[in-house]
Amino acid sequence: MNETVINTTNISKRYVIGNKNSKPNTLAGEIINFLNTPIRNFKKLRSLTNNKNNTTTIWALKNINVQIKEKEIIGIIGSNGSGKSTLLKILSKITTPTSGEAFIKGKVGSLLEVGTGFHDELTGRENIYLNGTILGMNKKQINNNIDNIINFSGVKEFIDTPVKRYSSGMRVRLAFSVAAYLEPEILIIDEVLAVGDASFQKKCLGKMDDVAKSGRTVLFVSHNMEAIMSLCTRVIWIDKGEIIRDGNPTSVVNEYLETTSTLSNTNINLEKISQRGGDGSIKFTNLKIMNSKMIEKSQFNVGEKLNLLISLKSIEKGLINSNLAIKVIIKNQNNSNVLNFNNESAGKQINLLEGTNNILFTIPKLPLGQGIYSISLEAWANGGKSDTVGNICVFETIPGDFNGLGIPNLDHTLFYANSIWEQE
Amino acid sequence: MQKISSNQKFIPNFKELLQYKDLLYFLVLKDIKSRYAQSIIGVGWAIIQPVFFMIIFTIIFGRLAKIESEGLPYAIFSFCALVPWTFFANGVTDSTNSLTSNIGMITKIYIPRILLPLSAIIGKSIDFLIAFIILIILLIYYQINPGIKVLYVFPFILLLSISALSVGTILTTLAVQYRDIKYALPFGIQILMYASPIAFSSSMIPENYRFIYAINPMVSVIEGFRYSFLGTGVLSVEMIISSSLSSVFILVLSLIYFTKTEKSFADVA
Repeated sequence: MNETVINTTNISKRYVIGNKNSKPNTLAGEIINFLNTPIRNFKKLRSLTNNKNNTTTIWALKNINVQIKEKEIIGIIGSNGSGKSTLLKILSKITTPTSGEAFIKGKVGSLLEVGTGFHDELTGRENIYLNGTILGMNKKQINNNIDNIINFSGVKEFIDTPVKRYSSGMRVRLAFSVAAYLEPEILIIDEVLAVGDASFQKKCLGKMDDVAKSGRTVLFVSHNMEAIMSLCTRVIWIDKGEIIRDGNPTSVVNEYLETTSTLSNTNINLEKISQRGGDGSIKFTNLKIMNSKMIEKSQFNVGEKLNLLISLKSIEKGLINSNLAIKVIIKNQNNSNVLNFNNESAGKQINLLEGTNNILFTIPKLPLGQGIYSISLEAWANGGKSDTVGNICVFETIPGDFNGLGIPNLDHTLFYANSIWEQE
Repeated sequence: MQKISSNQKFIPNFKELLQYKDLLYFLVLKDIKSRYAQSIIGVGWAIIQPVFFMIIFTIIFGRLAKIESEGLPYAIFSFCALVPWTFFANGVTDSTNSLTSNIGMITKIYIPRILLPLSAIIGKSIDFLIAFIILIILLIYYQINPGIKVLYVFPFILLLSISALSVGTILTTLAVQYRDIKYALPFGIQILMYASPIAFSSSMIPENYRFIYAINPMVSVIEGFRYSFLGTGVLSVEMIISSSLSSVFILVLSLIYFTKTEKSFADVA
C-alpha cells in the first residue's frame, strides 16, 4: 500500500475582493468624502490583510479534504475561478489557508509558471542558474544537468547572450528546459502547459508523461481533457471552491463536460432562419441531434454513434416525387469543411414526398477528434439547389474509446480511423 | 513532514534559508550584473555618486557655510561619511523595492522571501568596496595615516549592515501593501541624510543629547568611520550603546513583522 503524501483537512481560503463604499449625495458630503480619501484608501488597503466586516470576501476554497498517495497522478479540473489554482498555491506554500491545515511529505516542486525570475540582462546560462535555484534546485544539481538543459532548450548558440535578445519562443523553451530537469518527489503543475506553440505543448506533455512514469506524485491543473484522461490516475473536479467529484478520470471528466457544456440546443426549429440559400422550393423545418439511444445530446465521445433527424417540407408541388439529395456538412471551428455527406453518394435514393419529410441520418462511429463542430444542411432536387441553412447546430466531441480498447494516446489528432495490423 | 496551516509564525526559518543559499548567491549576482548592464560608465556610477556629493558638500557646506570639520580637510571629512551613507541609502532603496519589483517570485513560486531584500543589500557591497578604494586614495592624498585604529571599522560595518537590512525589510514589507512607501522613500532618505552627521559633525549636538541623537544608528556608524579612518573623537560609549540597541531593536522588529506578514504577500501583491 502506498503512503499518503498529501493530507488536507478542511482547507479554506478567503479572499477580500472589495469594500462597500457609501456614496455621498451632498456637496459638503462630497468634500468630506474627498478629504477622507486617504483614510478610506488606507482602510481599504489594510483590509486586504486585516479583515473587517464591511468588506466583501469570497471563499475561493471551502473545506477541502483530500488524501493523495505516493505515485498518484492527480488531475484537477474545474471552470475558471473555481479554486483549482488556489489549492495548488496553498500546497506549494505560496499562500496560506485561512483555516484548516495540510501535511505534505516529501520535497515539493511547483511550476505555476515557466521562467519565474528570468532577468533580461542576464545570459541564458545565468538565467538557468537563477531560475533553477528559484525552483528549489541547488547549484550542484544544476551543474550536473547544465548540458542536458542547454541541449533540450535548443538555444545552445545563444546561451551566453542576454535573454533580452531572445525571441519569446526561445525564452519559453529555455525556461521549460530548466523546469524539465526539476526532480522533486511531488510535482505541482498549473496550466503552464497551455502556453507556447503546438510543438512546445507536445514537448510539455511528453515530459509530463515521463514524470508520471518515473513514479513521482503529480498534481496538475489543466483544461486539456485529453491530457488529463490519458495521464492521470485520478481526477478531482472543483467547482466554486468545493470538491464535486473525486475518482476515476473517465467518469469524472465525462460528468464534468456534460454539466459544463453550454451547447444545449439539440432540437432546432429551422423554419424561422432567415439566412438561407437556394430557390426555396424545399424548406428545412427542424433538426434533432441525438445519440445511439435517440436521446438528444450535443456532446459525443469520439467513436460514438451520432443521429440527426432532419425534417423538411416541399413548397413547390412540381417537385414532388422527384429525387432528393441532402447534404450534411460538418465544419470545425476554423470554418473548414471536415466532413461532407450526401445520400446519393452513400447509395441511398430519397424521393420527395408531399408535406413534411423526416430523414434519419446516422454516423455509426464518429471519427472526429476532440473539438467543437457545426452542422450545415443543403437540399437539392432535380439538380437544382432548393434550400441551404448554415451552421445551425453545434456539437462537441470529447475523448472516447474509438477502437473499443480504452482511451488512446495523449496526442491530439483531428481524426480517428480503424486500422489493421498484421505481422508477415 | 511539512505542515501548512493558517497559524502565524513569528520566527524566521533559518534552517530553510541555509537550503536556499545558492539562490541568495544568484540573486546577488543578478542584482550586481543587472544594475550596470548596458551603461557606458558601468560600475563607475558607484564612484560618481559619493564623489559628486563630496564636491557639492565641500563647496556649499565647507567653503560657503564654513561648517566646522574638526580641523580636517572638508572633502575627506564628508567623504568618509558618504561611504557608509551611500551604501545605506542605496541598500535601503533597493531592498524596499525588492518585493514589489519581483512580484512573480512572490505569487508564482515559494522561496524564502527575505532573500529578496537581503540580496539587494548584499548586492551593494561591490559599490561599497569601490567607494572604499576612493577613500583610501583620498587618505593617501591628504597624507592621513589611520594606523591600527582602522580595524575598529569592522564592528561599524556590521552595525551599518544590520541597520540597512532591518530598515529595508520593514519598508519592503509595508510597500507590498502600501505603494506610497515607494514614492515617499527618496524623500525620506533625503531627510535622513541631512539628519545624519554627514555634512557636519556630531560635535554640533550638545553632549548631553548625543546619545538620543544616536538612536539613529547611522550617527554612530558615520562617527565610527571617522574615528577609524580620521581619528576624530565625537563618539562615546553611550552613543554606541544607543545605536546598537536601536538597530538590534529594529532588526528584531523587522524580522518578526516580515515573518508575520509574509504569508499574505501572495494575496496582496
